[in-house]
Amino acid sequence: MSGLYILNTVAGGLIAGIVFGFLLQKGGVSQFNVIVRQFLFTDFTVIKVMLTAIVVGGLGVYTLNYFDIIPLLDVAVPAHLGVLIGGLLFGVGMATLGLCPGTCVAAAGQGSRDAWFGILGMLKGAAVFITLYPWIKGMHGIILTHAATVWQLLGVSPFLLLGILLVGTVLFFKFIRD
Amino acid sequence: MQTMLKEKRWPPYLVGTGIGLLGLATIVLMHETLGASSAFERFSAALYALLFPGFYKATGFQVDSGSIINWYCYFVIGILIGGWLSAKLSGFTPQRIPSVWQDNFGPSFFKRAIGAFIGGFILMMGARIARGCTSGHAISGGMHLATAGWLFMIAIFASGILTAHILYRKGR
Repeated sequence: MSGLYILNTVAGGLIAGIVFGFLLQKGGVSQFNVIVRQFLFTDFTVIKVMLTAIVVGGLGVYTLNYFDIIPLLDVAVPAHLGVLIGGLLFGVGMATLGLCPGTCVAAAGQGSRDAWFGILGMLKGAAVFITLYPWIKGMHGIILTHAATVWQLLGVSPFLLLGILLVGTVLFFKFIRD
Repeated sequence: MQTMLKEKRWPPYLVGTGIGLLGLATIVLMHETLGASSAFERFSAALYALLFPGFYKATGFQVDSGSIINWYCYFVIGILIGGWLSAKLSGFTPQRIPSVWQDNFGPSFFKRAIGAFIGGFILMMGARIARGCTSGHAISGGMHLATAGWLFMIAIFASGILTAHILYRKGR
């Protein structure tokens, strides 16, 4: 393994993960109660964190892209059937475990013992997925919309959409008190 | 700054800003986007390949170029460390069993462990069918204003809200 590989992949991944895990734990989103209460509408931390991250990140991505500093990476993929079906399943799992993959790992780090069983379940789920993959991959080919981005779908500028999101987020923070 | 790191909670706008900036940093510096679920697929595949040598050929599962343990795997290991560090600095102590769970299913840790396992199983099946999770689709995809990311968010909230209302009638 070259030194550059170690720097980019190992150190880069670890450092980014450490920052992410730290933020998740500080945000309280590595807690079952916080996530489940979001689904029950008695705690809005999850939506607040998500919206802020999307607005900040989105403004950054599209501004940097506007000045040709970065390309739009392949996360901007057209929605396929797997996104819908997988997303519906994911929600069931997230409400039952009370965590999502990233927050579950952060929860394990913070000392929540039940999170480790979540991790075992996730590893098992991944293994079963791999086994069933030949029958599942068809879903990935069924495209639901040819638009890779919502602004392309709506036929507007990304900055208009981001502006609306920004306003919406500010209003959300202003009016939704936990 | 030091006292801030020792806080038990940061406000959502601060955490969200941090995540957004982190997402930008990983794109600019490392050409990677935040994501947690693919690492589980890789760890699982690596484990199975170790235990069952014919595993890859049998399933036709392809891992794209390079080592199976990639940036995302180190990222997830980092999340574990970061969660630990944050709790250590603040003295955060987790509940033995989440109180909302306990209010509805009782104090048995065994029951909670089973629930967590099953939940994690369904969660990851969903994540890999969708080819992403809240970090990958909702946050990374969301900030790119991707149709996949936004559809994913709508889907997880729809079923998550329904499931939570069915499972947790008490202690809300």
